[in-house]
Amino acid sequence: MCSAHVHRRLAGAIVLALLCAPIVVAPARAQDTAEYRELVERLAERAQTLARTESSTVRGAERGRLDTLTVGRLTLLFPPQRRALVETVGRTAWDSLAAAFGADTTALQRHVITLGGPGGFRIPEWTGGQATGPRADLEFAVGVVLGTVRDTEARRFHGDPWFRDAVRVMFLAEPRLQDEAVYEELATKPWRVVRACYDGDLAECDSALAVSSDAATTALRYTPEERRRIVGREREVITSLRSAAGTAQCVEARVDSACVDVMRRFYLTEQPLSPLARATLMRTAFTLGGDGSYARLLASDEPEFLARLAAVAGVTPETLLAEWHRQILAARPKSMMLTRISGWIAFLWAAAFAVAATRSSRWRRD
Amino acid sequence: MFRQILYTQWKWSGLGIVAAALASFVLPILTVQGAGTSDPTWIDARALLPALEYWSRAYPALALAIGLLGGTMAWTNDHRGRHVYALTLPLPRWHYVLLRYGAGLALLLVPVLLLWAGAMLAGRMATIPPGLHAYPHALALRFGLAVLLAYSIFFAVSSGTTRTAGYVIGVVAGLMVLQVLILLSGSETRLVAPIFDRLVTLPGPFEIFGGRWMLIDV
Repeated sequence: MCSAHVHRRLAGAIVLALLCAPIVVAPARAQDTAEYRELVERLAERAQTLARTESSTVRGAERGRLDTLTVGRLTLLFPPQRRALVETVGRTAWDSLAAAFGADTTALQRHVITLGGPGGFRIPEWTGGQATGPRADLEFAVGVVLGTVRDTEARRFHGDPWFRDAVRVMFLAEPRLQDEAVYEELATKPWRVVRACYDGDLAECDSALAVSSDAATTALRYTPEERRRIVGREREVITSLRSAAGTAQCVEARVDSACVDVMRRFYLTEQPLSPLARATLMRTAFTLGGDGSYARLLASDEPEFLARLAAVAGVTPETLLAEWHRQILAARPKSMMLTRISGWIAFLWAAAFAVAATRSSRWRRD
Repeated sequence: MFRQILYTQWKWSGLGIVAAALASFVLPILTVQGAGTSDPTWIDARALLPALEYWSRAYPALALAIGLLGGTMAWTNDHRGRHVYALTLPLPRWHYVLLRYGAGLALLLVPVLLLWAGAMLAGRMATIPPGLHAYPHALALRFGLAVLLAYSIFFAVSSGTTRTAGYVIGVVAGLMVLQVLILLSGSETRLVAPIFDRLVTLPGPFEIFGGRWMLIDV
């Protein structure tokens, strides 16, 4: 009975929102079709969001086992027995969001974030590399903030996959795990530019972290031998696209201009370092920049992206890269290394058990 | 006296020690079987780490198994003979226990040393991609400490009566059953996990068994 009532309310909300669209649009008759369509789409999206929020709230209420918590501008809905955990996750999430997005987080006030979603509360902790449970909900929150920023500059940024992926990836794992993964990347990629970056050449770090996804620029970041390797690796695919001659010239005749040409034509635009590495650079800039970093990034009119990030951080590009480099090298996975404390603790426990064994008695009955 | 105890212990557990030593020597060599390409690219390096991580689980497992073998075999015949042999010796109990402990430890040095040799051999055999390094000494030291700890635990448990061992197993099993009952009742209270977390993180006794046991790492 209750469920039918709820569904009627939801359907009513959606229909009402769609019916209201022409009324809202009415004063804007002079607008062109694209603007009109955009406005309707936005209203429809808003109606869907309202329905989603309403739906999750009602589902929780139906179960009768959910509680709410407000942390900053985040409103969280969760099973009451997980209050302590949700407080921790919520605080961490809010601190990250507030530091990065500043005033743009007002967009979150319109949303209720259900931790766990329809499937219930799943993963109680943040685990590396997988967007599940609270972290997936945090990703949703980031999406809300990104989607609400309206100025032209932000739209241009949001259309850029480098920027969008970097911002989203920033929140998908604990910073420590991300830094460890980037350390592995920095230490294992054999490209000259990455090796030089690993060794501390900050100019090469700039090149390895390249923002541009332009194929022409990408090709030139590698040495001739590396270009030959990259083309050789993709040879099977390229040959099937009837470009065997160029590939053979590159791989077998070792003609570097042929390699550059193939890389440009077939968009072999793999950057020396991954988007995760760039996300860690952006996180470093946001961390140094503090509150309102995101807004400052959007407002910056520096032509180079690295300069924009440096402006956000309030330091020079070199200082930003140096701080990023220091942070990544400090994240070298230490689990392999037997730390002195770990070794001593194991030894002391072994000694304690050995002493306990000497306290045994042969006189006791089995 | 120590030599006699060592000799008897070798007679009781020699076969198991030889098997453990063999496994310890072979394990590092098996670990690097995928690291033999002559032209390693970054793809090989990135693919090699997860493969090594997969094998890394075998090291603490082997250390536990060797500790279990050494700890239990040290006392099997004493229990079987109802400790008559120990009673005939002109030694206080603690002295006898330490002799047994030391003899077992001396025997377990063999698999640890062979793992070290195997790790060094494997490190030389493998073509290691740029950016990665072999850590045979760190691995062997960690393995040695893990064997020492596992052996000490099982030795202490086995040195007691069957009733003591029963109590230990009973407490562990009881906790498991209680956790299952709690989950079945609909509550999400976690009983075992926090205890487990305490045991496997510093200063818990099992911390050394956790983490990555990588022969080759960044």
